[in-house]
Amino acid sequence: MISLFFERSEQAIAELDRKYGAAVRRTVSNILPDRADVEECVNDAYLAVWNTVPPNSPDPMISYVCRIARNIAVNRYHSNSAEKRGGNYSVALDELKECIPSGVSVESAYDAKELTEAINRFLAGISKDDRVLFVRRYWYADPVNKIAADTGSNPDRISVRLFRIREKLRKKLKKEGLIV
Amino acid sequence: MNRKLLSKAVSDIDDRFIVEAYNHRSEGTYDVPERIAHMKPKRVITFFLAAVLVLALGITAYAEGWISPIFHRMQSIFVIPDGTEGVSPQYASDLENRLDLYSQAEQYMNENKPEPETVTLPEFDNSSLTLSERFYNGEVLMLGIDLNAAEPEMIAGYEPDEKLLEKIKYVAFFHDVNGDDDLDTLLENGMTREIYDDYLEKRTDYAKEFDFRHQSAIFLDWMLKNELSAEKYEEAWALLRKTGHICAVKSVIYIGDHITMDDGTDIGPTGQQNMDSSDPAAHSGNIFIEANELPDAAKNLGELNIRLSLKKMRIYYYMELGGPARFYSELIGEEVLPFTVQNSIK
Repeated sequence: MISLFFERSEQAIAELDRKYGAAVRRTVSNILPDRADVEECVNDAYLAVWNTVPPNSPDPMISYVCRIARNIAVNRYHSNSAEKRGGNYSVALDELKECIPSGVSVESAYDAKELTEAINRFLAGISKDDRVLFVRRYWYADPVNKIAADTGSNPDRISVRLFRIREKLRKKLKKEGLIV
Repeated sequence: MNRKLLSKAVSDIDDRFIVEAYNHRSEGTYDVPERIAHMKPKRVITFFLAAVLVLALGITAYAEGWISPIFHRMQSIFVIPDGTEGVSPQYASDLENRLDLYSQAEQYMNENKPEPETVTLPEFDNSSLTLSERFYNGEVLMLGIDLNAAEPEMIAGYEPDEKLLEKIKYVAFFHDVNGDDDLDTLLENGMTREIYDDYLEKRTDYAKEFDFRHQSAIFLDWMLKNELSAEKYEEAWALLRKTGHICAVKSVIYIGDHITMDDGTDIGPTGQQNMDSSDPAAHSGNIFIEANELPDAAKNLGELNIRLSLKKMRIYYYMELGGPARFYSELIGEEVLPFTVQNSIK
């Protein structure tokens, strides 16, 4: 697929959409409730991929395009009234905020980078099951019901497990001195 | 907390984690282990037979992890992200060293094939513990244990005596005695409306009927629904409606955190990893234990004589309609199991 982008082939976007369109749309629609917004973000993401490949040669492509789409969706979420209307992404973000108690601020880009590094270290040190659950909920913003349905579990059980993972993260951040 | 920057922090996590979760999303085969209510049926293959089969198939036991499955699997449990983005070089190096140690441990097992040792404990409902893998290089101790812990079903409807009830009611599920986990109080103290609404929405039908508003009560109700059969859950609720309270009891058997030497010296902090379940409440299965801060007395010995502690705990869960849920745990049994681990170097 990368070669199609490098060749500037008209098939490149079609192939990207065929292979990853479902995943990209699902990721974006987890964040933005409005269908029109979703399609717009997906199109913007594809355009961004077209404009940046080449010179970039992303591997794997899935994380590249999902990351672009997610960032576009999150920016739109923060900038328009989507944030005020709540929704699944808002709930997921608020769950994560529980890990970082009030009174401690992540106010600068540097702080955000430090937090990213801490989260990466945390994810590297937990089991694969827990890691997938965490990333599905807080990066892909998959609803709890969806995760439960995909995994043959029930939403209550998934919620309890997420709670415990967040507790582990909170303890980890505390141990690293990022929170008191 | 700045939501935008928190969002950014999460957005920038490493690619590997995103791809890993994507694969699970696409396949839909991510298997969340169900709670172990009974002993799992086990397919028993002796190490000798496994080695014969493996040789007959022309596949190295090392590659397949037949001989040392726990140490083998530990090498795939941690992810070292490519490059250093988001991970400090020191931490990446520490992870590399750790993985190398697991590899050495597996190699030791493959070359020496120490016999597994099994202990069955009638007093612990015939639970059994098998030390199947072990590694000690003078600095670090690693154990691979197969624990078949009997897990009797949770019993709802237990009536504790006054003295026990006093102990149980001392501590609330999530908070100490002075805490308050009423959702309205939590909302006033910073819980967002979305999470508040989510808790209320996710209550079971019965919890909604009785308008449970304590976080702990909502959790206990979920636990009862997950742990009890449908029939027992209904019986529990019938009792709760009738008497206004419910007490549920369960026993758990687990390997204690502290490992000592023969003379009682603690060998330092240990980490346990259940290889078969990431559910923190699961106690049975293949368990990996690592002690890498050994005291001087435990270092560089020709062999290390250790004592594992198997513990049986009884946990009481209690709530009254309209109030928070409480829990109280008490140790009701402990068995000390001695093992000897040879130094892999000496």
